[in-house]
Amino acid sequence: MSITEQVQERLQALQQDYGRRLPERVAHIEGLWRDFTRGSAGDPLTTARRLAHTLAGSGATLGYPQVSAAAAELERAFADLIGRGVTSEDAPPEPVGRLVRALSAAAQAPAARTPGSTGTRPLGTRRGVYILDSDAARGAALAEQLDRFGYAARTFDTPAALENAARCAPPAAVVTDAHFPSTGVAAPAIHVSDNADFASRLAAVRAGGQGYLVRPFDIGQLVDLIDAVTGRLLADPLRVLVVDDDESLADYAALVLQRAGMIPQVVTQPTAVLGPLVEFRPDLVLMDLNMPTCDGMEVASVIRQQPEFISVPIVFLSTETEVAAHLSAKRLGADDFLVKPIQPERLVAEVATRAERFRALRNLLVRDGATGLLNHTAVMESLRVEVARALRTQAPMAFVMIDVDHFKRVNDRYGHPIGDRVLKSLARLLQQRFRKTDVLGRFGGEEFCVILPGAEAAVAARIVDEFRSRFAQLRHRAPEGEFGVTFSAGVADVRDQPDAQLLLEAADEALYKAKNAGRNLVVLAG
Amino acid sequence: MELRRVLMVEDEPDIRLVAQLALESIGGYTVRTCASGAEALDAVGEFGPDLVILDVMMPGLDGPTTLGRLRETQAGGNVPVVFMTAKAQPQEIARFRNLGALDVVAKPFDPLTLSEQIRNIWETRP
Repeated sequence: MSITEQVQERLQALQQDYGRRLPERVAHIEGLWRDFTRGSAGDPLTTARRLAHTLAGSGATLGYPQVSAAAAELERAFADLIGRGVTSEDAPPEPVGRLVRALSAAAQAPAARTPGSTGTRPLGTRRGVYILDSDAARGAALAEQLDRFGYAARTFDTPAALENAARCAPPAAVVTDAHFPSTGVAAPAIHVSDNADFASRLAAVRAGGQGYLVRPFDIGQLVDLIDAVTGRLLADPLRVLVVDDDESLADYAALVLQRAGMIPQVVTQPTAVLGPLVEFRPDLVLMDLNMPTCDGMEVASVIRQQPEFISVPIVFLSTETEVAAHLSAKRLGADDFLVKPIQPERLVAEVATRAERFRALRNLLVRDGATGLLNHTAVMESLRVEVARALRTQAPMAFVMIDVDHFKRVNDRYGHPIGDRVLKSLARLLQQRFRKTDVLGRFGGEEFCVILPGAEAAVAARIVDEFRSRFAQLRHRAPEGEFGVTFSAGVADVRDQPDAQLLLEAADEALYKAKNAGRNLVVLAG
Repeated sequence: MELRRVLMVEDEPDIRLVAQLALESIGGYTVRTCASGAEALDAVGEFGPDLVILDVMMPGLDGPTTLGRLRETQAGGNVPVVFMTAKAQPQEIARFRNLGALDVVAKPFDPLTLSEQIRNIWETRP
């Protein structure tokens, strides 16, 4: 039995044990709620909330995702009652009654076949690619190659097996043999086929495929396609800034968006919207139109005054009568009006389409086409923002300039396409090794940079040196044979150079020293 | 430096068992579990972990308080800590980092990928 099978078996045993005790735990919460409504002493409501919280945090891990969801809702309902200081006399039977029944039902439902259906994307994992191929050996060979490019690839020989796995751990992309046109998984699919004819390609398009490769293909082509259909940002949830001075309405909208997989941030003081706008960098602003303290349209105008926010979508939530009055003022900066009350599904759909479109457009503007990293302009802007933040929060921040060694030689000897591939490998490796909070940019040509907020330069230099060593070990392929490439780097600290331009110059100077000292080296500024 | 020894602090027995299984069998780590912050403070010196995974919401000493006490000890002064919590919004994550945590793992977690998450966090630590 393989390790995974052993683990699965033991997980199932733990899951069964958990499932046996679930009804009792739910009954306990029900009992506490009854105690509360009858006015019992001992603060049963707080205890009930804590128990619901615990169930929410454990359900999905033990194979009961519905229990996590239902318990989380119930916890929020309890929290709301506690927050509002509701007493047992005033305690409304709903929504708690309904939520407890839902939790009870979820506790009875048989667990997901594979334990661990969390429905949430784990933080910090390698991007998963699921391969669907009836030829197991072929699939496994492909998985091994993809693994070398830094993807966590898994093979499946039936759509059902793939779908099951995707429930626990959604992949970033699916590579499917054209025999299985639709995989039933909400991830971009790339079709692989022996046929190059139009009919086969059309079938793939109709099945919703985002890429098509004909065998035999070069693994680099597939990796490029996977990168293209997933992209680094697409794997990140959409960020929505919710502006509403009514906190419970704002929280409700945030909850709806969060459950749909987005990252909301709430601002209840419209006058304080600018800070979060810069730091949170939302893909969309969802704003209440009629706020007693500050008119939504005016806030939108203030936002649009700044060049960086001229195109961020602003969607208003308003009542019917307000829409009529404000339609003519749409050019002041609103992109659309959604009428309250709005169904959660509709809210999510409207927000998602606009935010995704904005993000795609923004990517075209700020990302370097070849490597997917931020382009020069965007990275300079990020540097200014990060320097300002570091100075304001008195936190360290390191800036790294990286320059590929003897790049001209690579281009001359192997040709520009190979040279480009080397740069792409460097970019991909940067994306894998650095954290989401670090900013990666292609400064130009063969120059790259990294901004590490919160890191001291000495520590950053150590990380970059480890990275330098890894990159130097990579073998690049060319018809003429395999070869290695190195880079030199300079690292500067914002605490020594508290200004974007000075930081740039210091890192550049350090980079120059590295080149002069023999290359394949990281030098600390100052 | 390779990650070998992990101390898991979690009051819920079900989660403790699953996490231990996941980290030992899939991650191959040497794992010790504690059911409370107080237990963890005793265990750190004895066990010598490379990394501590700390549940945030625990009765008695909660996660952040345990971290604070840990930092005051000789044995636990510098050991990297990862929080485990149901609240994994960017603001919360930033708050936890400011308290001194390396990173945050969201609850409920997927037992099949927990080790990978931890390995990633370890490899990208400053």
